[in-house]
Amino acid sequence: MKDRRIESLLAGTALEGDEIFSAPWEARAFAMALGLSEAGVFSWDEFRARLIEEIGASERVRERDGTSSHGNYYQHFLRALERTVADKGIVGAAEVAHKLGVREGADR
Amino acid sequence: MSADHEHDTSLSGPAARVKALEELLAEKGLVDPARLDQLIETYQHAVGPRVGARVVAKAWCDPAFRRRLFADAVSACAEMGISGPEGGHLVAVENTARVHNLVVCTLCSCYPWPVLGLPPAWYKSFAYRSRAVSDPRGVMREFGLLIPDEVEVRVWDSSAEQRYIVIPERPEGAEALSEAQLAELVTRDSMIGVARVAPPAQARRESR
Repeated sequence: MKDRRIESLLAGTALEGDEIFSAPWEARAFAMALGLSEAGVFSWDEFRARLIEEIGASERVRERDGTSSHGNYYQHFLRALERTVADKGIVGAAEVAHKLGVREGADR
Repeated sequence: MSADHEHDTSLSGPAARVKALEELLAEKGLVDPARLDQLIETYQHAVGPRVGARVVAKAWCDPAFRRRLFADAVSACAEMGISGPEGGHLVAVENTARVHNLVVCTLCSCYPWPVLGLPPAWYKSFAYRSRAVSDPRGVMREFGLLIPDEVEVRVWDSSAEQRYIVIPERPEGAEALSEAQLAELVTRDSMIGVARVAPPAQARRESR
């Protein structure tokens, strides 16, 4: 059963072709991480270490719960980016939450 | 997670978080939105597998270059003006009648950006990352690639230290083609190791 599911996942993703980003925010998150590492704010290796942690953590949850949530690579990528800038003391979670709250107020 | 928080446009959805983060970083002078546009444009259009295809075609046509490529892929690519982030530790691996190479990154998504661009979605999928090592022949079969039992399969796990490009076998029936025409036959998947390079007539049919 499990193998069948993976086969169909692989078959499905292989047909996606050359699409690199599936939503504009994914491209934006990628460019921010690369731009910040280019600017020397953090190194790509520092970022990658957190990306590996995020992916690893989600896979432990997947194994524990027996769930299969495919296609959220950039969700892990975004969490890794948020953690990297927070750990560096550049932008904390509270600042992001505040910004989101301000926007919600403005939208109403 | 409750249902009303699951869609992307919600307050805590990724699109909103990315926008907030970019605004904060721009306010602090740490990112330039115009530079981000440029980077996205570069990785969506300028850098990609067509670059690697030129390297493969040159390796097929120029034996001296081929030797330099397998000895030191970084220097050989630099000769062609190819360099960039995530390409500093590039290794070229050669497919032959006896050996077939397959590339994966089991931990995340390491990939040789300067020659192949950014990886496709399936390369980053849990299914590919977990099964390419444990069942490479089965994975390749799902891509439609059958590797005979007598051919040795070598799986290369990419890392921060090493990135790989597969130099596929030159197809039969391509003797009359120029280096530029040969490059057109080379696909991204063949440089990851999940496909062969099809002979010219077949490649034309497949690209339709």
